[in-house]
Amino acid sequence: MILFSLLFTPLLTAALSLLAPKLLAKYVALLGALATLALCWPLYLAFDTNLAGLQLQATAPWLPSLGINFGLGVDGIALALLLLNNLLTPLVVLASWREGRNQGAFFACLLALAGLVNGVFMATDFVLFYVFFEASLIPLYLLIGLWGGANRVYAALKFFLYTFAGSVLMLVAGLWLGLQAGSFAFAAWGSVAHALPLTTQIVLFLAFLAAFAVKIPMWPFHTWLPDAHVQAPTAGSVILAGVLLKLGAYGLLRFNLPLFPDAVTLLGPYLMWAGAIAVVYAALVAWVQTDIKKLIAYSSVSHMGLVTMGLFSGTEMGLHGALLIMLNHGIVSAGLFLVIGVMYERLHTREMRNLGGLATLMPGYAFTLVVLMLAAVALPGTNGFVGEFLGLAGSFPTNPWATALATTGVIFGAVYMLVFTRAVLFGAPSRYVTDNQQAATDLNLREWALFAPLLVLIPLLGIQPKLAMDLWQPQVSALAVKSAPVLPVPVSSSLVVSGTTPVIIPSAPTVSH
Amino acid sequence: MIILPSPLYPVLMLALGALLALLVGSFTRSAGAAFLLAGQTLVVATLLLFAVPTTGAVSFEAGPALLAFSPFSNLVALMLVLLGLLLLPLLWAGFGPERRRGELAVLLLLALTGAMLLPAANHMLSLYVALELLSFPLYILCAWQRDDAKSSEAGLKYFVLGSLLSGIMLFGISLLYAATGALDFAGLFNAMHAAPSPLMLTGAVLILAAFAFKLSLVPFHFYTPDVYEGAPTPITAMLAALPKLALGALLIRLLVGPLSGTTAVVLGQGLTILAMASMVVGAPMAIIQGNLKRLLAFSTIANLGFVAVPLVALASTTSGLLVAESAAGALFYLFIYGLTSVGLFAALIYGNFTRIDDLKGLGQRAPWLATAMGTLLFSLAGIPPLAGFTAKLLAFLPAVQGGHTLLVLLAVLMSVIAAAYSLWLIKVMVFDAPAANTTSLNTAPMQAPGLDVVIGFTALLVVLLGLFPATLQTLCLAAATAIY
Repeated sequence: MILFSLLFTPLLTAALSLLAPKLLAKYVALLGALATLALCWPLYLAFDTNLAGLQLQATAPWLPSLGINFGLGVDGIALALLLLNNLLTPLVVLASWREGRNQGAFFACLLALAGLVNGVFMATDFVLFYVFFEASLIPLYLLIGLWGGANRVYAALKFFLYTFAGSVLMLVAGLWLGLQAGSFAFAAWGSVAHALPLTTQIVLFLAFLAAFAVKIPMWPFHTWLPDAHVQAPTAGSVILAGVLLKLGAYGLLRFNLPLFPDAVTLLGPYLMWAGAIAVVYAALVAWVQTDIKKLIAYSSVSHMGLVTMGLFSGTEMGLHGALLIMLNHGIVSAGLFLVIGVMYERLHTREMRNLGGLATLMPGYAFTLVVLMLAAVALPGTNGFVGEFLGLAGSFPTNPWATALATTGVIFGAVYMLVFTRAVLFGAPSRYVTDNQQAATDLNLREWALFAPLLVLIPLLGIQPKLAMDLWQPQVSALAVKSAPVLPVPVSSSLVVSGTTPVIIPSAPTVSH
Repeated sequence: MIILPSPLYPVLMLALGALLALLVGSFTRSAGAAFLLAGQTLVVATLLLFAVPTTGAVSFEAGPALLAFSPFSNLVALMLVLLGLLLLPLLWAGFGPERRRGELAVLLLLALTGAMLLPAANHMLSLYVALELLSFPLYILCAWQRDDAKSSEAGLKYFVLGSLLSGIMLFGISLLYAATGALDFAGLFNAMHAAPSPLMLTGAVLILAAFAFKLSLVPFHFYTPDVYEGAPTPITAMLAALPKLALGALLIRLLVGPLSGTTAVVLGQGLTILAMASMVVGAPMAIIQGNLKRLLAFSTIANLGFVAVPLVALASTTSGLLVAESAAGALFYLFIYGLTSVGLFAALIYGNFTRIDDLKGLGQRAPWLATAMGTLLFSLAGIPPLAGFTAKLLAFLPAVQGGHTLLVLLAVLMSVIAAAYSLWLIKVMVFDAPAANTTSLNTAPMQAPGLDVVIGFTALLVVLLGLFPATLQTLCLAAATAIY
């Protein structure tokens, strides 16, 4: 019941804000977004973190004669991402408070997107998963196309067609697998998928990967992302970076890793190379950007490369790291896009040469930006550190050389983030800034409200990542065991995370390709 | 001898309505009266089909059954009548006062009579007569705008090519007759299953060619863009909705009936080629069109290619359940496609759009019309949760089950290309600014009663059938298990 309400509250709010009088739309949207966030609390209480597998399942028949059901349920991974999505929704509504054109439709798109993404995380039936996965393209297409920047039409079309092309391959693979299994509830697909011959597994793995690799986005399928990010309005960028990129990684965790462990063992090291290349390549590209929004967009590609590595490492620590990076990136990159949005609202520029010296003019803003930047470069004590460390440490046993390459990317990451911060905050104010000095006011109350939750979460998850890791611990153990190669392991080492629960690194698999 | 209640009543109702409307139209010279009468006829026929769905065979004394009404034919008839009702406002609004004649409604009713008889045909003779009864009103209607060269060309082209393919079909039928000595479906079935011969296969393939023509499948599609463009828009809507549904249903009936077994396997191979060619030609060609009706013509070609996918599955399986699921999938798809087409063409008439550029800035000029059209276009692209997606799901699932995974793979990839033109139209409507000299639609004189209802109704239905497809799917499946 609670899952149904998590799905329908945002969708209903979307309809209401579309129909509401012009001035009321944003209040309706904010109320709906906060109500959805509030609903997460009973969900969190009802969820038992000691169990692996789906909980709180609810099913209604949808196409009963074909065995397709409207099935919802959550596990720890889904719960963490649900919390992230529903936390960001009120923030983006607040961030778009001054959106001028066609407010009702704008907030309707935002809320519909939030509801559909909730649906993706909750769906337990493949067809339903696909429905939400695809349907979420429509509101974002409209958000980018209607409220985006100068080159918005190209970006919107490219984004839509790229992701659509990837996901139809997944559709065929999923339909085939569902027919083999006699059910579209994908939790039951495991035994059928494991029994398939290796070539079939690899083909299916690649078909699913096509959908998710575009969505994550993995190098070299990432080219739609910078376009979409730069052209999208702030709210669109925040949701895109914060949540939508996680749909791809979530899909990998739902389908590729549990269903095709042999394919993961075989292809994982190569995909980790793709991840490592993404980390370094995107970081280098980010370094030379002069449009700061594009810079952050490439930094997303870089971070998601690390997620890819952690996921395909097959180790428990790698998975923990990947999930933490997903969550942290959701918080930090959302914050960075909000920071850029706040500045763009005041100064109407995103060009580095137009900026500089804002630290003196906007001290509160500078504080926020620096905290977010430190989290983005994974300073110990911030949430970014735990994720990157676990991700890299977990990847190392599976593919040491790729991990070594990715580690250099982390240094480049620090470089471009520091370049970005210097260009915006420090140095002498540029001509452009001095010309617009009266516009460069510090954060107002609404904007502090925007950043406050993020500023709290960054140190909190940095010092106590267990809060998040406990949610998905059972699920990750189950996944890691399944996707780890069945080799006799001579040594196992252990690592104590934040001094509480020892996390055992299982089966440091020696890959000898 | 007709005994109460006869399955013939709904068809007779339509024929009678057509005659009455013709009389009324002749004596009063008022198009309105004929349209009203046609509307009433369709409502009564719907009620007859809905309230007393009777099945059974109709034959002359001691002869083989000419017609055999079944739950399948009744469901197709119901869909056709519903589409007919939706088409009436299009016919009314699509012509100026000088061309708006009662005969439009008469010809619609006659075409519907033929279309309703088709899925009930049980004899090659009744099949042919029903097919011509469906086709002739369409030939005439295509040339309705007779002072317009393009309309006349469309009518002539459709008539000449249509007659040619009718002739080819007759030739195929005569080959079957020569090989089996039977014309009724039961006799053909027995003879063809007993001893299939190359002669029978040749006949069956020729019949399939005629179907491919009517269904606009590549390489029998060449007339489609020209006829779609030249014919008056309401007639284009009829072309997209009625013959496709009726002939698709008839093809299903033939493939599970007289042309099943070894013949169906051969026809399945032919259909595979037709399906692939249609998808590969239709979807990319639609992208490069500037004229909306030509775009929708290529969209028809691509979509009928998608419909052919479950028909391939149907033709090449012996499993009863799979046959039913494929037939249900194809039927569901055809109905949703017809509905979407009628809605889109209604919108074209409503705004008097001919070129893509005419749609510029529609989102600002007429937000609700743009919303409805956007919904229909997203559905046409097969984006969930709209009915177009459910239709594709129901059509492709049995094909995957039947082992035609590569064909389905091609189909979904082509549906991405097909999505591109839908998205492009939405882009033009919603993202582009209105051209400088366009007037607001809301201030344009509205002389189209019911047209807005048709657009809204189809858009709403597309949403509802996408969210709750189970009812219609169950109906289709039940009908598909009782095709004869």
